[in-house]
Amino acid sequence: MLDLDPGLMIWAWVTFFVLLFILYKIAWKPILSVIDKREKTIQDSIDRAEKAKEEAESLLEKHDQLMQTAEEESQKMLKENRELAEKSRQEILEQAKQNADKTVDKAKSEIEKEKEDALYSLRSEVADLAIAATKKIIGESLDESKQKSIIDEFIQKMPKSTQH
Amino acid sequence: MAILAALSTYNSGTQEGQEENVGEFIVHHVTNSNEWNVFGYHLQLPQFEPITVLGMQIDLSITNHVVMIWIAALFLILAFGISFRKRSLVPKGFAAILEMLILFIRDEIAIPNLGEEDGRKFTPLICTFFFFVLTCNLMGLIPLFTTPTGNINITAAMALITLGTGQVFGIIRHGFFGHFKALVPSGVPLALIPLMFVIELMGLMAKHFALLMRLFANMVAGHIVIFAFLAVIIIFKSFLAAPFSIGFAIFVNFLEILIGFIQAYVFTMLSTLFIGMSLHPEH
Repeated sequence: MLDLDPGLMIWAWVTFFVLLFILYKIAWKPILSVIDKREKTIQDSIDRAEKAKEEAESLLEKHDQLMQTAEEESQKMLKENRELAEKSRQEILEQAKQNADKTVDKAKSEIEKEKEDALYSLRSEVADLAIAATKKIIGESLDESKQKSIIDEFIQKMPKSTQH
Repeated sequence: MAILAALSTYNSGTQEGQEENVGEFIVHHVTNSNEWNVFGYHLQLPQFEPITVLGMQIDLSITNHVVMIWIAALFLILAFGISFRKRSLVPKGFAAILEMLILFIRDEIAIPNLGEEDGRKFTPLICTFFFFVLTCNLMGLIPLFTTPTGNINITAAMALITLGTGQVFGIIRHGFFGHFKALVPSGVPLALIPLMFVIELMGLMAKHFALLMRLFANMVAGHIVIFAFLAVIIIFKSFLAAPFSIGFAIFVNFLEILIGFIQAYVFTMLSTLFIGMSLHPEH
């Protein structure tokens, strides 16, 4: 069982090397090349996928950025518009106030004038009435100009509060 | 067991002669011979006159184990040839299993031990080692066939291929002196270098001797154990022993399948390791 048999060893070597040669030709070389090719294909696919992913990510980032700018822009525009509206509102309000004030003033002055006119006419009416009354009382002794001056004096002497 | 013990005492008278016969039978089964037992017919294999080269008798007769390694080689060529007829990028069926094994050998055995570049270069050799040893290991479990790796000359031839590959490629890589200088670890005092060289050289031989013995012993032992269990029936001369011995023989047979794979892996792994040590010393 343990005796050395060089012939068998030689046969083993011959068989092994012939087997190595044939298997190298029919199996190892094609299989290993196919494996390498497949690994390369897989690696390429992974690389491609990685690249696509990166691209998509950068695109997404760009998109996000764009969205953000748009948002900011719209916010800004909204704010501006609001300010503008506020301003125009203020202006309109101001103008309306001014207009109203003006109208009120005008009306006031008109009223004043009317009042003045009325007072004036009332005053002369009163004077005329007084003269007529006096004429009736004392007769027609006094001439008209003198009577007027006397009544004017009288009116001047009247308390201030009754003037208007 | 009590029955078996009783039987053994009953048969003790005739046991001596039987045991000798059984032993002879087992040894005959595991040794090389000039015939091939095919279904009880003893096929005589061609024998040649031994030739003498350098005072050494070389008998190139086609013995049983020579036929077995040829069958193993033929089987491998056919298996790979048929499986990989169609060269598709993704293999199917048996080809996928073979490819998985090849990938395992390349990625788990060759490249870690030999480095990326050498690993790829030596993968064909290492794959051949693995599949050849595996086929030889498992062959003996099939009726009609014997285990060629249960012959020390075959395992010796394989271990010598490992040794030769390591030395030849080591010398090519590092030069004759560079290769042998690398055997001695660096940092050894000058006076110790000759001693260390001898020790390392012996270590190198011992490693490869262990490699061939490990495979041989494992393969032979399994077959001896199977036959020893079966021989229990003959020794006891009782069919009562049959369930016991056949049960254990079948168990050992399954164990042998496992051992066949493990030993093929171990042999391949260590061969790669030894080649790697020669190619990349000082690791």
